[in-house]
Amino acid sequence: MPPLTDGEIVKRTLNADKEAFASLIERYESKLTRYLERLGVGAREDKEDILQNSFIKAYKNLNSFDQSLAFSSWIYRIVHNEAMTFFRARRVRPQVFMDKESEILLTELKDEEADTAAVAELRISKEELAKAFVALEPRYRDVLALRFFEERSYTEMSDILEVPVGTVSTLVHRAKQALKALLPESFSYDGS
Amino acid sequence: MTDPNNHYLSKRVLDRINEEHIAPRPRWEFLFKNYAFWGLSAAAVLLGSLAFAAALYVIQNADWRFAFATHPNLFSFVMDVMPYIWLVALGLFISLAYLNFRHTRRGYRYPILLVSLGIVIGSTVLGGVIYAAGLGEKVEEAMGILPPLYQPLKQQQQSWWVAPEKGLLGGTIVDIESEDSFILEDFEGRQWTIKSEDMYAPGGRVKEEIVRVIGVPATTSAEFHACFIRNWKGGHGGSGSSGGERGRNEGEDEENRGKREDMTQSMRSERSSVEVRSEECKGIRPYRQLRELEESGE
Repeated sequence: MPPLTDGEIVKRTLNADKEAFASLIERYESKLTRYLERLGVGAREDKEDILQNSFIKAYKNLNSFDQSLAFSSWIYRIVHNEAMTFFRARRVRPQVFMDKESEILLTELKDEEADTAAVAELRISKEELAKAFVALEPRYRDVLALRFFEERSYTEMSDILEVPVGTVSTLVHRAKQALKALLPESFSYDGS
Repeated sequence: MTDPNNHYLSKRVLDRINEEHIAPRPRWEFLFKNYAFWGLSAAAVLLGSLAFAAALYVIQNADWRFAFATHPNLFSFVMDVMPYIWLVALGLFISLAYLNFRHTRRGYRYPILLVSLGIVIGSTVLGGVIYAAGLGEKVEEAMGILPPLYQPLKQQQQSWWVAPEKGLLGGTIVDIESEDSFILEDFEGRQWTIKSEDMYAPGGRVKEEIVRVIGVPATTSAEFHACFIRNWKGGHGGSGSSGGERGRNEGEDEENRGKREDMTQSMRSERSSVEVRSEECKGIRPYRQLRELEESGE
């Protein structure tokens, strides 16, 4: 028997089957944990608290879930909002551990540059990139994480961030520019 | 179903749901919230359209023809009549409409520019319809219940035309004394003897007609030497008519209207040269523009 879809699990939960909700949590727990790590939530307890609060909120608001949306976009939206609240309330410095993520980002930034010869000579360490990424504003860190690490489409990001698709495109562009501006001078090769 | 005991997070969440008796909020709450935002957005568009209708009324009925008589220059006239409060209100309601729309279930999906443009167009088109239906004046006057916050256009114009020291008087003809004079009760209730011998066709006025008189500035006496008399038009300050479109006073009976129209006709046919008027009149400030108005028959 094929596994239930997210929408079917939501319907079951709303029909008083709380245990069905548990399977949704298990389905998304690891993805969302990784998403929080990429946003800069380092401590295990903080991640657990944010995820618990997010799923409680999702349960309370399950009747507001728009079936035309993907459930993943909806739950990402809730986790995103909870994470932003966490950063605002705690004012903690984000901790981001980037390994594969550094490669992804660097590839993306290089692909944008027109001067291929200069790109080939570029040397940026993972530490430099991680440092720059952490220093970004939370909203820019968020869009880069969603786009390049979580591999969300612009439409999904529009549903997660609750902004028009055009705004998502603008935010991604600005985030990349902001990241480049924070990288060491070796990344700016306009003659230097 | 899977056993939540093997999954720490799902167990914690379910435990908390059970301990705190958490239940999903009912669907009607979300539907109500969504409809409320739609309703608020639509209400803001409607209020914006009322503001636009009032602004249109003010701009259309500001008496631009006599701007040179009541104000030293066009700039000061524009500054006086510009419907600031209505334009600010329009901007405010457009913003509210946008914010409420953005909070609807799927409002966030639409580009900001598209939504804003749609709201602006909606408010202005609906406002145009409301104005065309003659309601712009009613909306504008209704704001007059909030003095001194807002002075309706009618009152503002009346105040401009009770300025005998500047040679401006407006009001109702209460008595015709002779061919050369009549009694005018101004908009503030004061009575004036208007000397009209300088008119092309002295007399030609009827009782209860509402007029504006431009003449020699008066300082102390209750006599006023008239150089130009024009019908108030649109009934501002008098009985009845609205919108500024009609060219006669409401309540004017057939006999008086006929007499006035005959006199107007004879004024045009008697018009000969400027030497007919006294030097006093030729010296008043907007003389040239008033002569042009006279020539055009307005």
